[in-house]
Parts: sequence; structure tokens; C-alpha cells
Amino acid sequence: MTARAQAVFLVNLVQDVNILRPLIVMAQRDFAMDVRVLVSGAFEGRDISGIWRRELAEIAAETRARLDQFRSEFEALALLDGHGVIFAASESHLRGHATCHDVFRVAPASYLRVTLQHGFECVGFRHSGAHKLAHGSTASFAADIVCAWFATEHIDAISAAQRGKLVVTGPSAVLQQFREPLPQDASRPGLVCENLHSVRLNAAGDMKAEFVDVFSAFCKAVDDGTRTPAVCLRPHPGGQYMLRNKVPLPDNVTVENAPMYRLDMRRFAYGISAPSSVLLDMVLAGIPTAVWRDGAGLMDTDNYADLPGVSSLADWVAFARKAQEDPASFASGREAFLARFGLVIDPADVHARYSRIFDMTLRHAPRLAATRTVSGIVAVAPPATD
Amino acid sequence: MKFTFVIPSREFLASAGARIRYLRMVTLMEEAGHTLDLVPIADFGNLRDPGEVVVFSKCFDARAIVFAAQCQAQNRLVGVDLFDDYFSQSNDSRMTMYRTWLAQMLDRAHLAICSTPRMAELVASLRPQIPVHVFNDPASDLRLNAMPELLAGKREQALQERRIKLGWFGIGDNPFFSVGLEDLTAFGARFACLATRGWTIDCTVLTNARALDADRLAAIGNLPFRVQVELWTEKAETELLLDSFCCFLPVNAQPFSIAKSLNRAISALTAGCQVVWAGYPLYNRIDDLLYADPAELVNDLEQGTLRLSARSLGRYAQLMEELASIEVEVTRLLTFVEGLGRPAASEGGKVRALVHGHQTVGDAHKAARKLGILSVATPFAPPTLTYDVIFTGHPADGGLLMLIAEPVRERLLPDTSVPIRFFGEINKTRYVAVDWPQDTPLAMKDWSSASLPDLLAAYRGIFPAVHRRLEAVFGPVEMMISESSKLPFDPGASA
Repeated sequence: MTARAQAVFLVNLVQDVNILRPLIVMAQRDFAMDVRVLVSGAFEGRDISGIWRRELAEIAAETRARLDQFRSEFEALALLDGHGVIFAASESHLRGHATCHDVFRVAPASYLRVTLQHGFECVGFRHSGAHKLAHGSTASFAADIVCAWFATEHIDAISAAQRGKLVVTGPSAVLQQFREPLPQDASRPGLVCENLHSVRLNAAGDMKAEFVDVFSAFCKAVDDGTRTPAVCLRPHPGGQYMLRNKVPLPDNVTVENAPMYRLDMRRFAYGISAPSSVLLDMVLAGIPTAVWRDGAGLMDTDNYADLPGVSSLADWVAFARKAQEDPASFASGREAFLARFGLVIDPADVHARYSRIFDMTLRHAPRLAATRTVSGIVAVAPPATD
Repeated sequence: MKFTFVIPSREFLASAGARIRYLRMVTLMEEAGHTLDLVPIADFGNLRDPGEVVVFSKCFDARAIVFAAQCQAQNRLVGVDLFDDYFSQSNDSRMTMYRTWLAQMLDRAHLAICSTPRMAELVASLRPQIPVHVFNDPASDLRLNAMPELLAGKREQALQERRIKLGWFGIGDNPFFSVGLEDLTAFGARFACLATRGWTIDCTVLTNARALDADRLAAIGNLPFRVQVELWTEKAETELLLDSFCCFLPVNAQPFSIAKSLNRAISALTAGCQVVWAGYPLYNRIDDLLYADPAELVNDLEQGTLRLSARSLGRYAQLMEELASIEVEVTRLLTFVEGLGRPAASEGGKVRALVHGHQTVGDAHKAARKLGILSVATPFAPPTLTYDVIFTGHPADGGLLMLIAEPVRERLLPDTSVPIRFFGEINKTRYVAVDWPQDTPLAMKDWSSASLPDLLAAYRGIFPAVHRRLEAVFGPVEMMISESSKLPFDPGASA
């Protein structure tokens, strides 16, 4: 008898967990697949606070997934001992994505390989000016299928030869949105997200210092002296720039490091961030959302042109005030932003689109399994000796 | 006679090279009334009596040069055992360190032992006057009695299952050259033709973990047959060879690969495996037992005329006796060494100096000083060691400033007329400076901040300048050079 088809999830960067989680749940809940989570050796080092290890353990317990660690492509190959589908959230030919890319390159033919878009501006999907400077205008994938968040005509950074791999599924994040009613809370803080580690802020000038300065001044300006938290700072889960660099934080700032699926953004009065996928999360949560732009205008923010921009302290303060006084006035900008790229955001639609990939895997499972007896590579690694 | 083979480390004894070559040699030498010790180079300095013959194996740093010089001075026979060709690629700057090492070792050696005729030719081309002996890698067990049954069983199973159990084993990579798994993936498609005749190929690869990167694994995954990859252990190799019907031994034609020994073919044959080779005809000395074409192998399998079979065991035994018998090899080695006689007494009278280049080995410095050999820093050398003589850039005019440690001042020529003045303390040692009257060669204002291209350009010229100055104050000097850098720092002592 052929073994059950596997749904394998490669976790390498901490932010992969957020992208993969809804699909791990789907694989087990909706398709009863044999769920495996393969965690890279480097993941542990990146998870400074240990948050993500706990999250993975919880996800695995909830979905009865098997958690394995791999420290080399050979060990990963040895763990790929069946057939089915492998998902990776950070896979491309770029150096930073080499871990998942290399596992995809060596994966046996008995697995369908699927790469997920993991950000709004994302290498291989849509590049900002800074992405182009850092990585070139296109990237390519080792996957068989590449899942995009928005209409393919807006995906201009995939290598032309690989366009045939594209499938539009929408962001997996909409499968884990908060739906329960929000308690009425008089004082709602603002949310400021930083991604100062990002290549976007390295293009030119001293953007990091500029952001830190305006952020500190803003916190001081909105300090009402009551010691009530006025601003919630969310560092990028992988970057953690403000915390790693021990940037002093004013008293009225709280830090929020919970995974996105535990953070109900609806409880914030507004959100501000430099260009980053978190802006999409803010928009999907329906809160007034502003894009931080550097004063000199060096940073490429074109993809976020429909959202209001803030640069100077005065801009920040004016936006925060208007967001609290007239939040409805920001709705049209959000809608324009979502419409411009044809983002697929209806959860039922997104679920159906990902379901097609699982369905296809299960439909072809016997043929995938059969490839193992004909050709290809099988690895037998010695048992781990920790 | 007492032999000492100096090896890089105790762990080296676990490697296939040492296991095949040395371990059984020890017992047979003893049976012949001689002794053979395998001594890690780190322990060599503490040996009271290394014996009449000292052979250095794979100890590619200046410690070997220092100890070889010492053994030469003590009138011992000094030898090198060479079984990997890191030396003949004279246009490859990555190998500079190895060529520098070999040239200095051969200058102090009375004999060379090589694993293959090709390596022997290399030595002969570099130093024709040095006697060279080819010591073939011996087989661990010829299995002469068990062979008929082993061969019959493998053939019967292959015919019954219509399946070729194919084995590939060994080191899969090399830091410098494309070898191993890359040869397998380059030539593996040769077996594709068997599928059209209804044969299944089941291949098992046993290799080292480092070789199993994404590039090589992906290439293995593209071979036209199923491959199971496992990590090499001695036990796994024995089991694989006893289980496989055939081993595939592709070899490419680069100098490193064509200098390899027959040992993999011997290991395969002695475990009752048929052998298919591809690429360079490395194994032509045992050609009658091997196949170049997998189709021919299958023809012979179907017709019962396999090249390694009960019928060919006479030829097998003859070839193994000639090329892979430890008893024969040890006897030949002893005859060779006994034929050399005692080495001529060394000249003596020269001051010996170990001159450190860009990257050195601290233990070579210690060994040199313990043996009364001057430890001399060029301006490139790391500043952390306490040298007897330091050459450094002259702060004033960029000339070469020579500093001599107080304790070795007594070794200066009594009649030396160069002006000497107190310089100061470095690493808690007092140094005097030698002021040469006309001293402007090789000017480089600041050696510590010089760029790599400047250092590479200045490097070769330093050594004759250092040698001249040492001889001016110490008398005739035998200079040894310590250079362990992977960068092409070439002192011109090339082999």
C-alpha cells in the first residue's frame, strides 16, 4: 500500500511561520494529509527570543504535524522520504533564500514544489527600486508552482522563462484574520512598524537615523503625560532593528512582537510604516494607514502611492489626529490600493485557490509515488546524535 | 632497521589512505625483523630515536621541513611518501604552498615513496637524482577461496532480478579539483542503455557528508537510474561491495586524478564486484578484468562469460599478487631501502634558519627553536611569535631593518663588522638592530598596512635579501621557508 501523501513545509526565516501557518492548518484539517514541518538549522539562531519555536511547536501539536530539523540539503533529502507537496515561503535563486532553494533543487520528483509570495513587494514578484538595486530586476525559482498574491500583469519581477509557473492564490494571511467583534475601547494606541534592516532603507542617505528621529519626536509629541501607551512599536519579526540596536524607546511606547496572526490590528487607531508588507496587513484590518517616506524622497514608495504618506513630524502628528477624528476618510485610499494590483483578498476565494493545489497533489499522488521506484535520488542519513 | 612514518595526526590513521597503506605494513615489518612506528608529527619532536629511516606522509607544513633537516643532519635516511598530486599543476597558483613544501622536502630527502608510477614520474622530473620506489596500495583481503561462490551468487541474483546493483564509493569532492561525484554524474549516463534492454539499475553511493551539497545532489538526481546516497563508513563500504554486482569507477583526465592509485578497483574486485571504468584509463594495468562498456558487461553476464569469474581467478590472483599484495609490497620496499645504504654524512657547519613567510605554523617555530634552528621573521610574518631574528620595514627610509634577539647574539660571527645598536623590547625580548651601511632594497614604507598585491609582488624578493643578511652576520646559512598561506605567496623555492 502506498503511504499517505505528505504536505511538507520548509521553515527557514522566522517570518515563514506566519505565511505557512494557514496552509499547514488546511493540509491537515481539510485534506487529512501527512503534515511535515522541516525546520532549517539556521532558524533557531534567528529566533532570538524563542517565540517562533514555541509557535511552531503549538502549530505542530494542533495539526499533528511532524517537526524535523535539517542542517544540510542531504539531511533534508533524507527527510523527504515519500511523495506529495512541499511549500516554501522564502525560496528564490537569491543568496538569502538559498536554504529553501537548495532543498527544492534536490527534492525528489515525487514532490510538487510550491513557492509562496511572502511579501507585497517581494523578490521575484514585484521589486521596489531598492530591490532592483540590490538584487536585479528579476529573480527565479526552483519551484514547480509559484503562488502570487495579485494579478499576474502586476508581477514584473519573475524571470520571463518562469512565468508559466505563476498561479494567483492571494495572500495566505487572509485565512487567519480576526473576525470576532472588537470590544469598544476608548483609548486606542497607534501602531508604528519598523523594518529598518530592509534593503529598502539602504538605497541612499541616512534613512535609519531619520526614521528613528521622527519616531522619537512623534512619541514625544503625542505624550499626554498620563503614561498611557500612545504608540505600539512592532519591529519586523526577522529584522528587529530597534531592539537589536538597543534604540532607546520613550515611556509611552510599548513593543509588540507577537506573530501577526496573534495581533488584532483592528485595535489600533492607525498604522504607520515604511514601505513593507505590514502596510497590507494594516489595510486589510481596515485602519487608517500611512506610508513613511524619507524627507529627501530617495526611497521608492510607488507601489504604495494610493496610501497617504508621512515624512516630517508635522505630517505624523496631522495624520494621527485625522485618523482618530475621521477614520472613515481613509477608506477610499485603502480600496484604491487593493484594487490597483488586483489583490485577491476574499478568504473563501483564497481558500479555494490553495485547495486546488492540495487537490491536484492528492489526485496525482499515485503517480508521484511511482516516480520513486523508477529514478531519482534517495538519501539515507544517519540518525541525529544530539 | 627501524622505520618511522610521520603522519599528520592520530585521526589520519582512521582514513582510507592510512588504513590501506600503513596499518598492515606495521605487522609485516615486524615479522621481517624490523620495526615501523606511525607517529603524528605533533609528537615527533619528543621521540628519542626515530630510527634509521624517517618518512614524512601528508605533513604539508614547515614542521616536516624542520624535522627532515634535523634527521638529515643526524644521518638518518629521510623520505617522503607521496600519494596525491597537488604538485604538478605548475600553472595553478592555488597549489603554490604545496610546491614550495615539496621542493624543500625533496632537497632534504634521500628517497621518495610513491603510490603510483605517475607520482614517481613527477618526482623524477623534479629531482632526477632521488631514488623513487612505487609502493602499491595493498588489498585488505584477496578472498581467493571465497571468490567462486561470491561471484556465482552475485551473477545468479542479477539474472534472477534482471537488476544491476551498482556501487559507487569514496571521497566525493576535493577542495581544489572536480573529482568524485562529479565524475559519477558526468559519466553515469553510460548505463542508460541497459534500461532499453530491460535491466534495472539500482545504484548506491557511499561518500563523505561535505561532498553532498545541493549542486552534487541535484546532479545525482538527474542520473538515468535510481540512486540511494549514504554516508561512507568502512563498514558500509565493505557491506556495499559484498552486496554490489558491479562498481562504477569513472576518472577524469586532470593530473590530480590520473595520479590516483588502483585501490578503488582493487577494493571492488576483491569483494567480487565487476568493474566498469570510464574516462581516463587509470586502471589499464588490470584491464583484462574490467569493462569500459556497460553493454558488454551485460552481454557477458547473460552469456556467462564475465571478466571476473571463476575461470579468470588465475589471472586475478596473478594481478593481485603483482599489484596489491602487502607481503610483496613490504618485501620490495625493504629491498629498495636496503639498497640505498647509509646516507652520506651531512656537511655540517652551516647555521640553519627557518624563515617565516606570510602565514606560518607556531609549532614549526617552536620545533625549530628547540633544535637550535634560528626562527626568522620576514616583514610578512605574523608578529605574535618570539623570533630570534626579525626583518621589518625600516621606519625611516623603508629599507629592511634587521633585529637580532639578545640571546642569539652570541651566535654572530666573531669578526662581523656590521654596526649593531640596542633597539628595544618586542614580546618581552630584547633586540639589537643591525645598521647596514647601504640598505635601500625592497623599500616599502609600511609593511603592516601594505596592500595584498604589494605584498605578493614584494614577497619573492625578500628571501634572497634575508639570506644575504643572515649569512653576513651568522656565516653560511641553510634556509628553510615556512609558508602555509593559501594565497600564492611564492618564495621561488618551487618544485
